[in-house]
Amino acid sequence: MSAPAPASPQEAPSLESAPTLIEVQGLERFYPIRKGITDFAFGKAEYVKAVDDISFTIKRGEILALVGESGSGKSTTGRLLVRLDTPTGGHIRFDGTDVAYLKGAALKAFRRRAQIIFQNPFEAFDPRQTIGEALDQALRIHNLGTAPERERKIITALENASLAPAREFMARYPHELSGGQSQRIATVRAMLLEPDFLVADEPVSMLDVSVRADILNQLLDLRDRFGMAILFITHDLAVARYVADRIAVMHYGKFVEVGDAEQIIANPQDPYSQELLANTLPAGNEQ
Amino acid sequence: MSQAVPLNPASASDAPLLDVRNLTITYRTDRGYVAAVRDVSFTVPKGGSIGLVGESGSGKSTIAMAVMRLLPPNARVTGQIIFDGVDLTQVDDRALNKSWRWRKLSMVFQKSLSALSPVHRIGDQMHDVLHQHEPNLTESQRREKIDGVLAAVNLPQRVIRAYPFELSGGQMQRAMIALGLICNPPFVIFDEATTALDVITQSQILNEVKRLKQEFDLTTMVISHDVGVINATTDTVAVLYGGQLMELAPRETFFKAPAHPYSKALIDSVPPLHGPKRRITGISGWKLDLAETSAGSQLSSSAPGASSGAAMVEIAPGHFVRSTGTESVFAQEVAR
Repeated sequence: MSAPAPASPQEAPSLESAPTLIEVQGLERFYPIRKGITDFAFGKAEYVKAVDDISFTIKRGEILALVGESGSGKSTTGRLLVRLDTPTGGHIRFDGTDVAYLKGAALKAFRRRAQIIFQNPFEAFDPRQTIGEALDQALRIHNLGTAPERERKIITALENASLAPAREFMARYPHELSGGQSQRIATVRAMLLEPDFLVADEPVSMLDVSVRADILNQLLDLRDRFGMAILFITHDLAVARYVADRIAVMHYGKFVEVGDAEQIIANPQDPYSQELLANTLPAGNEQ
Repeated sequence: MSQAVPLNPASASDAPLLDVRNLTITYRTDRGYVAAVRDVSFTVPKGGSIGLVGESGSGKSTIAMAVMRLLPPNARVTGQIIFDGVDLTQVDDRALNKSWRWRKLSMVFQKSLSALSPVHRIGDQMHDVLHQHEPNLTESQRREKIDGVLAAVNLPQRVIRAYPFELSGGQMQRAMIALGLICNPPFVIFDEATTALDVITQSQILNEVKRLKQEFDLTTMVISHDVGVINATTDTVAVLYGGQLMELAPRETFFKAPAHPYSKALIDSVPPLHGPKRRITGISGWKLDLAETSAGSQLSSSAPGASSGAAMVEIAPGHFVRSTGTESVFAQEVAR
């Protein structure tokens, strides 16, 4: 157990020398609890501290797993990092620029570089759009390429993700896909814009075990090929260990422990990390 | 009870509590007949715990619904489900409600938020069950029972006055378990009962289930896609794929030496928490279309699985494996 894991194909080369892509400093997202207008007026407002003063960095080509229970603030952190939500405090430096409070055109330009995939692949697509239209829309919004160029790009991307024949998938509607196919296509859509950073929010927890491995391996391959940084949100420590270089354990909006993935699993320091680990059921396949 | 058919009245003590024989369940759909469960047989001894593991569409929940007799009208069931010596497939609905459901068999569902009524207090929903299934109790006896099961699942008394939306996911799931236990049934089915919960809450509830199993002398059927849950709560594992049993084995044997390729694939598709890191792989042949694979097997009284030739073979005492001949659904899918 104490022996370090052998070098595996997932391990990115020379992560130590990789440049930092994201630097988060004192990030906060407080939601006011609305009691009454007078409470606000007299400064008696109370807040839910969904994300409470967290700081961390992610390097290019690095996968950081964010683990914790529901309500710990994992998803809020993910949404803040791709700016689907705006922080109430702190900074997010992305490739040197503070993107925490961007608006308008600058925000749109940032979003091209930071994408997100969600837990429920069945709700990730407009049910009235074919897959081809949905993928094309992602490119069109950012004015990338002419129609034939976009189509070529979509076909290549689908086929690279083993979704062939691509034209057949493009003609389908979301309800004609399995959960695993939908999630692979959601990942393809996020990757079409060639982002530098991807947030994957519980991307496999709704999928059958037989297809989970495919999605996890797809993400690892994308990281290896494009050197993308990934924030991987999960409640499953075994999955976190499989994909991540480092693990951050989140509890009530704060990071209780951040460190090397193997170290956190083998020797967690914080009592909450220890509790989380002790309660994770062994799958029965540990050697 | 009067309409029920006693099959083995003599062997009351050593007979299994649940004996499923050649169970085949076929749905009639717009796309033709779909065999959701094919020729499944297994037994559960009194006090035992069987785990049905498989992916979506494997038929595991359909089997549970058949045991509870909750299948929709377009389902056709052949084979026998013998519970405590009585074939449940032959019991009429009134007798079923009066003497079986809840009193002898109950089920804890995954989605407690949709299984519980949103507009009634938890206590009232428990009262309703007792009213319906144990009408002879006095008001104070009912109160006592409700207090008892709530205490058993570690819920505070105030939950009686609460509506489901006022409870957390873990509390709601505990309320569902309390509701399942309220008539002291000897047999309880847990259908993905902890799937939606956090790891810590899940492990707490699974520990409670283990304690309740001892305390109430329960026989259980645990349905899950998660081999970890199966490992933690059962003594026998039944692996289902495409409606067929692939392997039936004692738990230790299953995890130490799974014999069927699908069982191995299922165990290997989950990344290990400890030990050496290894690349996990998906399972080929997962995109199973039941309507397509059952095109040949129409509604007939003889179970399609039984005639297909891919039989279950006993390779060790109590360890059955489906031969991986070309006839099995799994072999056909892998070959595609």
